[in-house]
Amino acid sequence: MVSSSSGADNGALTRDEFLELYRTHLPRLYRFVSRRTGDDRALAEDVVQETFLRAVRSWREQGLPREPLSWLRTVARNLLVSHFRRAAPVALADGFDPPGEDLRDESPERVAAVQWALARMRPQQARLLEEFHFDGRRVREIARRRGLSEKAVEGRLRRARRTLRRTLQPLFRKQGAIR
Amino acid sequence: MNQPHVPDPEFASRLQWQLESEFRRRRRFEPQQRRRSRSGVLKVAALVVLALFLGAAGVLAAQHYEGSWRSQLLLARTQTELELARARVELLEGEAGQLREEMGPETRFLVEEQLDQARLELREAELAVEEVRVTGSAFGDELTAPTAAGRDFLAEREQLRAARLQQRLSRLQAYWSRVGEEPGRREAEGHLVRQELEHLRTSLEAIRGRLELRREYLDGRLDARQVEVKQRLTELAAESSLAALDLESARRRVAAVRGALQREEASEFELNRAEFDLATVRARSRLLGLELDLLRRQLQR
Repeated sequence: MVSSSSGADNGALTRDEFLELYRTHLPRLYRFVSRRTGDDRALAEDVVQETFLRAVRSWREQGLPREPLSWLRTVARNLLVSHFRRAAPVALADGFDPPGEDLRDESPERVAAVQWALARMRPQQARLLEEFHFDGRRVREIARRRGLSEKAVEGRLRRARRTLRRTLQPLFRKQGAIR
Repeated sequence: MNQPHVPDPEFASRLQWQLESEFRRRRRFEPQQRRRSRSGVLKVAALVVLALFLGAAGVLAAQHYEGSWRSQLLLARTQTELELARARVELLEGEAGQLREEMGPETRFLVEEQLDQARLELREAELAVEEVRVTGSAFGDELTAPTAAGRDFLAEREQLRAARLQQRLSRLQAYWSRVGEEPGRREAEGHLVRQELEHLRTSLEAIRGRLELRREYLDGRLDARQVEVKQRLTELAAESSLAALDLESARRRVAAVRGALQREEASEFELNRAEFDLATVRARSRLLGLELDLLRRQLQR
């Protein structure tokens, strides 16, 4: 997102180098996005396509980031958040308790409802829930990556789930599913 | 049947083709794109304005026997550019107002950036109209240009640019202090942000240098020849700073490719390429140093 006019031609990425990176990272980026769209292929493909097109522009002009996959994931995630912020809320069926479930193989509708809510939560809380529910990371791994104790991560997850439930409530109410 | 969370092969090959085309297209048009980027709407607006301008030019060309037609044409052009700049600011302000609620930090940064740039272009266009009205001629960026009607238009233009750079610098610092601590962000964007900040500081320093030279010239402390040499010195100092940034990027790339090679994720060819790029940047830095040295000696004579 940050543009730099310096170094535009130095170490500029060649087409072959870029395509090599594309072939290496496509499966991982697609998995990252697809889990967050409930395997809604059309949406996943749109986001992946837009992410790589932005990479062509950015990497040619600004050079290759140190961690290309992190860069791609950050851009893809921002695109998803923008998409779900604009999206209309999706009605939820009765008996769905997202924070208690693994969301990786959920239906696109349920995932869209959760994403709609995540896009309206504080980014730190949303990211934590995403790591746990979409990326399937364990508490220990999240704690290690963030330099926190496992207990602290569990506490944050509890608070984030409470917020997620609260944010999702209007969707249930629309259907009269909350008793 | 498609496996979940695995890209469809047809999609993968279509996207690869699209990326190859985009790569070729960007390569072909890169210099033009770096100079100016506009949204589709603005491109259309620019075309409309161009058509209006050509119409105005036709009318004015027919009246050239009345004299000073060149000035009139210039004034018509600068006024048209002013209208376009004003329309652009209004358009972007409207868009920003509508999107404000939905914007994340990156989008907000980009939208505010665009708006700042458009406002600067509007103020530059206003200044250009005033200058053409006063002088009747096109403006130049020569430090030895004369003042007109007691106004130093060149310095006013440079001050506008400096204010814009300062604003961009502050905005980028604020953006980074907001998002820089988020996990993964530092690794993904950190060096780009540092590089951009350095680039902005260098550009700002170069403008301040030009303004100082301009003052010295107008005060009679420097003659035109001295201004020319000192101006080149200022430019070279800025280019050297930017070359130092490029050098850092190129070194970083060599180190990254070496690491990837050890993990068997890169080829010898890629390493050779990165080392070649590093050598190129080093050579450019040395040449800049040499030119700086020569100019300094010339100035001492």
